[in-house]
Amino acid sequence: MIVRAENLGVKYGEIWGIRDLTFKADTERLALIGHNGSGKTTLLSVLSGIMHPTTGRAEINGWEPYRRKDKWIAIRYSFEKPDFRVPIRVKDLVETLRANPLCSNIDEMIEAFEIDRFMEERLNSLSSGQAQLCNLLVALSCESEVLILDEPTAHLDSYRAGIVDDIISQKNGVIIATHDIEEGESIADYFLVLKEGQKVWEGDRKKLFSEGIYEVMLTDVKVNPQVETIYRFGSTLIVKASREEVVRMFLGGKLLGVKKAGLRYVYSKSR
Amino acid sequence: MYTPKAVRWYLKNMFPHPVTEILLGLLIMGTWYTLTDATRFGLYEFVVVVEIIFLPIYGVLIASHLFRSTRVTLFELSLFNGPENVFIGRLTASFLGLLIGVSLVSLVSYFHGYSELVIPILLKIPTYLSIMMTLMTWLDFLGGTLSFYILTSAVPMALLILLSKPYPSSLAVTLVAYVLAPIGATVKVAKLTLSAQAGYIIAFAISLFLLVFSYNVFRRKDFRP
Repeated sequence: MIVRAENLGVKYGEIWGIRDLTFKADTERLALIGHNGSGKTTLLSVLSGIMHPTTGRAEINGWEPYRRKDKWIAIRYSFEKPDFRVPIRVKDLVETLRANPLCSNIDEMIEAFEIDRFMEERLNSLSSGQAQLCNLLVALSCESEVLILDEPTAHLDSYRAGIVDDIISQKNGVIIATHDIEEGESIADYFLVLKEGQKVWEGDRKKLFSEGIYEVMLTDVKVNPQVETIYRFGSTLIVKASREEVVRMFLGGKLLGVKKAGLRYVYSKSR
Repeated sequence: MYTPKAVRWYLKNMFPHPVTEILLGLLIMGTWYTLTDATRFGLYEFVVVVEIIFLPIYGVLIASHLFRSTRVTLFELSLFNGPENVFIGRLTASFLGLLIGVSLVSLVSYFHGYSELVIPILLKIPTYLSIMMTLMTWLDFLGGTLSFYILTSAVPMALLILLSKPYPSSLAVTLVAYVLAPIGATVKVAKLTLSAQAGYIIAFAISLFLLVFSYNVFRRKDFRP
């Protein structure tokens, strides 16, 4: 999948949701990372074809999603869970999906999400996590060229979030927006970091993990790491150090764990 | 092929619904009693009770199932493979919902000997549908239901007052009356600048135009989640 944007801009009244955004990602799983209001959902809206840009253009595999006539079938999406105010039972939703020849994965998803447990419930009485699973059920059960997911594991417990992430990581043609660093790193192989509607970083996994920057977890918050600290999140630090220094700290009992900093580092830079 | 599923989806939401059923009972009772008294007191009470009070509330109950938040609409667009099925599903479900109430009122009127009221009462179906579908294209639950009630109850009330004046009405008022208050327009036809037959045809044509217009707008609409 090649996702490309050229001078892409979306304006809401006087405010730009995204502005002059240019990038090219040749990847099967693209993650959009950014804080609240950074333009992730706006970019997803354009890429899912439900919104036309104000300026510029966006393309997926050479076609503009908002101009494509069969976009509702070619692109499946799940935006943050809908506030279901419809008293329809979950089993009716499942029955509707079963009647759709394009949604052949329905039984597999029902089993994975354990939807059997609340099949008789009405959509307007579901917990936020259950509603999110029903929302994802539509996107993940049906075949599509592109799958667009906005915060797919928001409202889910860590157990189900893990199941959802595992399913997504095995799919191709995925574009996901997330705040969750670990989720982004575990699913995607190309990353676009946004801030106030503009790109602050883009690159693949190789570029992401190439710098000599490490994410270390101290054994105690009071431990002095004795290396250059770039960002601090409690006992988790982003440090600039050589591989030998980090290994020495770990063997010396100062660290519980260590990994290359990756997304947490570039995300921190966008703050 | 997938459209019947969409129709079923929206109908499940609509019937059986206790409030709709109670209102349907009140609508029939109101029609019955006002038409029984009409031989002595005229059709004014019938117009007020049916066209200005009960039919708009019945319409609001039906329409309230269409006015969804953008996120639920986005969910349904994906579920039903696009806006065509969602629009036709909502339109058909609303048509069936309105058909029950409106056809019962027209039947009661017919059996009371007021056959001239049957067409304007049935005209409520296309006019209400066109208003619902047009509003549904842009508005959510609160904005949609309020606007629908204003257009189907408050505006007909104002028209009834206008048509009570001793002089004939303008063409604009006549057209609005036939679209939004066809029953009142029929009762006050002497004050209008168009015949009832011409008025019904124009009202039907406007409704049809609004339905086609809202369908095309809904198909091309941008959504902001």
